[in-house]
Amino acid sequence: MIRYRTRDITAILPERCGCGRTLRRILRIGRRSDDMFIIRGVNVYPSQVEAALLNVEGTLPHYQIILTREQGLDQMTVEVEVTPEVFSDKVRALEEVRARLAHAIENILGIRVGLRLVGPHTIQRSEGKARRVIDKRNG
Amino acid sequence: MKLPQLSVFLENRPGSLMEPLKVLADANINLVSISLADTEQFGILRLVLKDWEFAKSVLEKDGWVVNVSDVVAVDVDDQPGGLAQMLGILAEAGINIEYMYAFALRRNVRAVLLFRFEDPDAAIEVLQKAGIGIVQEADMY
Repeated sequence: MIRYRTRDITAILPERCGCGRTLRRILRIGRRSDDMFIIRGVNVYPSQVEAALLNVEGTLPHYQIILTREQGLDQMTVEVEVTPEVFSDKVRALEEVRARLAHAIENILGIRVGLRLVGPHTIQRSEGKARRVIDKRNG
Repeated sequence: MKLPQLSVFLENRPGSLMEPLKVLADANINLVSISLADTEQFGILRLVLKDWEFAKSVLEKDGWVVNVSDVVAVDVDDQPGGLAQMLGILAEAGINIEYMYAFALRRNVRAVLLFRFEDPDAAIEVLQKAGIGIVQEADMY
């Protein structure tokens, strides 16, 4: 038996697959235990932020979570790249997109977050595992 | 007559206005009119130009997010009250203006106002009925 510690979080599905196979199955991997961070006492997984972004935009935009400490208080800011699908020539429409994204995340996490729309291709692309969280709280 | 207007998303930081304009300049594209809407976090650069389809593809190839919307170019009487009268006609007809900006036509040094209406077709109908001149595409560039 080979064991890997991938830190992927999943669950075993006891039911048989609809296709008739009898092998054991696992739930789609949505979280990794080492992705989790704690902000103002709340455990947050990037996948929760992804779910909120996906919900609003329909597809997942490039994003990045930035953690800072301001006056002794943890702050979480989500930077989201603007896509042609949500971009508008009207300031009001873009402000609405920004507010919708922020509310969607706040609803899932239960904490206040900042949300900044950023230009396309401004968030660094990483090879392999994406670096979604930038923690600037210590140092 | 509706005119296509390109909008480009800009971040609020030094140099962000120059970058897309440099891309257009390098492609030898000339602008007819330009306007910038700014907020605390971002800006929206609005451009009217002749080769808008080419300009759009050039910008997109360089990684910019570009939106195309319709604006209406209105030739307003260059005398006191000219604009107010025209706006009165629109208000009476319940036409909503999203935003507007002005520029000068080089050809005959006339002031032209570019309007982004919520419903451009309805606005054009109202303006034409009132006998207000709408600048045609051929006269713009």
